[in-house]
Amino acid sequence: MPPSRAALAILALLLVACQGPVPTATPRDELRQVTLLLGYRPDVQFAPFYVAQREGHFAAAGLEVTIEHRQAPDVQRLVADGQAEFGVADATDVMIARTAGVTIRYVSTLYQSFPVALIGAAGEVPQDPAELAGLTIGTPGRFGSSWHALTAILEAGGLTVDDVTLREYPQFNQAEGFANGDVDLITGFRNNEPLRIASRGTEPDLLTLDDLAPLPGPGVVAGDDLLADDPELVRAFAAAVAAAQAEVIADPDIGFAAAEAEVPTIGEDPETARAVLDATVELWEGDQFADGAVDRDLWADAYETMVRLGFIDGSVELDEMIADLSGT
Amino acid sequence: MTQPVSRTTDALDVRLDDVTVRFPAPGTELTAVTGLSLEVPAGSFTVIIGPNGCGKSTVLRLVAGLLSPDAGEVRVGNGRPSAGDGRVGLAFQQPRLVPWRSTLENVALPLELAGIDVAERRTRAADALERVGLGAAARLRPRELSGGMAQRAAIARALISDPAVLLLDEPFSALDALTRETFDAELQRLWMERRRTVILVTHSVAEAVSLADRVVVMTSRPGRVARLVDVDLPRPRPVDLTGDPLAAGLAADVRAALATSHADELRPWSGQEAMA
Amino acid sequence: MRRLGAALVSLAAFLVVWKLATVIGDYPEFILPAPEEVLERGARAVASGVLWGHTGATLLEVVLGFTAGATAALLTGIALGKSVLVERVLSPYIVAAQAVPILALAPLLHIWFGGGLLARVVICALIVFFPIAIATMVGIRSTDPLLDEMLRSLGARPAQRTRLLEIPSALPVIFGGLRVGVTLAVIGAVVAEWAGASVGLGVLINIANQGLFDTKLMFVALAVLAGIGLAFYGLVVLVERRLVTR
Repeated sequence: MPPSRAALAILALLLVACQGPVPTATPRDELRQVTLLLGYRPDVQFAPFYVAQREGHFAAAGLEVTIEHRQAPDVQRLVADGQAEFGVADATDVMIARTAGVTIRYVSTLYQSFPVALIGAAGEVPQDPAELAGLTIGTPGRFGSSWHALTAILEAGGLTVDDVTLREYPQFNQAEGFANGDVDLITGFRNNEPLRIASRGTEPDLLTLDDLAPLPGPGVVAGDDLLADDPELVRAFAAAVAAAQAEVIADPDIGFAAAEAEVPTIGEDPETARAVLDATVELWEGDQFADGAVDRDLWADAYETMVRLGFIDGSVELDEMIADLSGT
Repeated sequence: MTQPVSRTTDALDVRLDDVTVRFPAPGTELTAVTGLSLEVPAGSFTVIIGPNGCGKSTVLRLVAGLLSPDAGEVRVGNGRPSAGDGRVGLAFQQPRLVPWRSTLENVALPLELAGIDVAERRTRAADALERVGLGAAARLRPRELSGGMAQRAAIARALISDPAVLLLDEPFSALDALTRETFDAELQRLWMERRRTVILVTHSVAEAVSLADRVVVMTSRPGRVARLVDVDLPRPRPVDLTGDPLAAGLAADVRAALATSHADELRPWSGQEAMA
Repeated sequence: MRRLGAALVSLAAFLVVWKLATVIGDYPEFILPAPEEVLERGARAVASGVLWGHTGATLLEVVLGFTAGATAALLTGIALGKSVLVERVLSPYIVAAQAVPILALAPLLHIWFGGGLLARVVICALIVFFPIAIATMVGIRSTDPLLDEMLRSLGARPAQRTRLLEIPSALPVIFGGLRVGVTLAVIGAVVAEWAGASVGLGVLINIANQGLFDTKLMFVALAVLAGIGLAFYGLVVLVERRLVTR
C-alpha cells in the first residue's frame, strides 16, 4: 500500500476508535410521550421530576414527560381514566380512592416519612397524644392525608375528634388561623408550615405520627390499564424518578437549580424555598432512601389502621392498591 | 263625621299679576311667560288658547301650585296656590292613572294622601265615579279602560275633594272627535250643576267658543295675554255650534287674535327650543 | 298544572340526555356517574341521615345571607336611584367590589368576621348584593315622570311619592334582581362554606370529592343545591305574582 493511503486508513481507524461510547439516548422522535400529573401548582418539592427532565433521566428511559398541574382528587381520577399516565398522590388517599372504585395503584414511594404532623409553638405541642384533649386544632377539613393523620394521632391517644375542637380551613390557610391565635395547633406539612411559623418569629414544634401510627407517604400512581398493558413503561418511569431523586438527595443544589427554572415563585424568596427543599429531602430519605420501593409491611399496618378508623371498609384488598414492580 | 279635604262652598277667583317664569335649558334659559297678567272671576269658565309653546300649560301649573313664578304673583282666592290643599283640582292631557291600582283606588288617591280612612275614601270615590258615569268600572284596572273612560276617571279624581278651582290641560285632545263632543257636553253639565272656577286649555277654537265665558288668547313664547274674547252666548249651549252666526263671529275673532300671535311662529325654527 | 307538566317533561328530557352521555361516553362512575347511580347514592345519603344536617346548614346560610344582602341592596338601591350624588360617590366602590372575585376575598372575610355563621352570612350577602342593588336603582330611576308630576299636583310629599309611586313602579325590575339574587345566594352559601365551615352542602362536596373520592355523592350534593335554588326562585316568583299586579 502506498504510504499516503496507509496513513489515511490509520487515520480513519483512529477516528472510528475515538468515537468512544455512543450515547444510548433515543433520538427525540422515538421518545414515548407520557403525562405526569402533579398537585396544585409548581413547587420546589417536585425537584426530582424537574431534575429527571433536565438531566436526562426520563430521556434515558425513553420517555418524554409532560408535567401538568391539577387539584388533588382529579390527579387520581384522570390517571385511572387513562387521560394521563402517571400522578403523585397521598397513600391514604389511594386506599380510599381504590376502595371507591378509582382504578389506580401506588407504584413507587417518594416520601419515606409521612409528611403531615401536628404543629404548634415550642412548648405547647404535647408529645403524648392523650394530652390533645380539649385543644383547638386547625385543619383543612374532614378529608385528605391531614385528616387521616389527625384521626390516627388522636386514636393513638385514646381520643376521637369529638374530644378536640376542630376549625376547618378549606382553603388550606390554617397557618393564618394559627398566626391569628384562633387555634392552638394545626395540621400541616413538616417541610412547610413549621418554616412559615418560624419566619413569623415563633419557634415551632411538632407531634409526628412516626412512632404512633405509621402511614406511608406520597408516591407515584399509575392506572390499572397501563400496568396491565405496559408494565415496563411503569417500571422505567419509576426507576428514572428514583434515580433523579437520589441525585437531589446527594446534592440538593442540583435539585434547587432545576426547580428555580420551573417554579417562578422561588425567585421571590429563594431562602425559604431552599429551606423547604432541605426539609423535604429529609422526608424523602427517612431513615434510608429506598430507591422508591413500596414497603408492603408498612402498607399492611396502615391498611388495618385505616379500616379501624373507618376510612375504608376492607372490601378492596391491599394488593389491589399497590403494584409490585419487581415481579411481572 | 269627618270633613272632606276642603269644603269650598264658594268658587274662588284666580289672579296672575305680571308673572314671569323661566326654565333652564341646555346651555341657556327659556322664558315661558313674561309679564303675564290675568284675572279669572270666581265661578267662571275660562278657556286659554294659543300657539304651541305659548306657556298655557305653564299658567295651569302656576295655578296648581306646581310652579312658583320668578317674578310677579299668583293668587287663588286670598292665598298663594299650594299643591294638594284641595282648593285646586288638575286633570292632564293623559289620564295619568296609577297602573297597579284599581280605578276606584286611583280616584281615591287625593283622599288617601290627605290621610282619610279607607272606608270613607272608598265611599266617596265610588260616588265620584257614579257622577261621571263610571260606577261599573270601580274594580277595573286602568289598562282595562278605554281612553275616554280613563279620562273620565282622571276628572273624577280631580273633582273628588270638591275643589273651588278646576284646571284642565287639553283634557280631551287625545280622544276622538265624537267622544270629545260628548265629554265637552258632560263638562258643561257638571259645571252648571256646581259652579267652580274652571280654567281649560285647548287648541280647538270650536271647543273654546262652545264652553267658555271668556277666551284668553295668548301670544307665542314668551307668553302673555294677547286678547280677551268674551263669549256671551246663552247657556246651556249645544256643543256643536255650526250654523250659529254669533258663535261663528266669535270664533272668527278668536282666530284673528291667534293669527296675529301666530305670526311670530313663522320665524325660522332654531332647533333649540323646548316645548313650554 | 300545565306548568308543572312542562317542568316534569323537561326534567325527564334532561335525565335522558345525561344518561345517554354516560352511555355513549362510557365514562367510569368516578368521572361521570349515571343519573340512576346518583339517585341511589342520594337515597342512601338520605337514609343515613348525612344529608339533612348538611342541607339544613346551607339552607340557613342561604336564608340569612339573602335576607341580609337583599335588605342592604334594596336600601342602597333606593338611595342610589334617588340621588345622583350618592350614585357618583358610591358606585365606583360598589362596582370595584363586584369585580373582585369574592372567592378570592372569602378567606379574608372569614377571618375578619370571626370565622363562624356570621362570616358566612356576610360572604353570602355580599354575593347577593350587587344585582339587587342595581336592579333597584334602575327601577327607581325609571319612574314615570308624568305620574310623578300628577302625585306632586296632589300635594304628595317625597316620602309618599317613594312609597306610593317609586317603589311599586320599580317592583317588576326589583323582582328581576331578586330572582337573580336568590340563586346567587345558593352559590354564596357554598363559597362561604369553602372559606371555612364544618357542615353544609359545600363542605359535603369537598368531603365527597377530595376525601371520599365519591363522585356520586358530590353529584347528590350538587343536585340538592340545584333543588334549593329552584325552590327559592319559585318562592320569589310566587311573591312577585302576589305583589306585582299590572
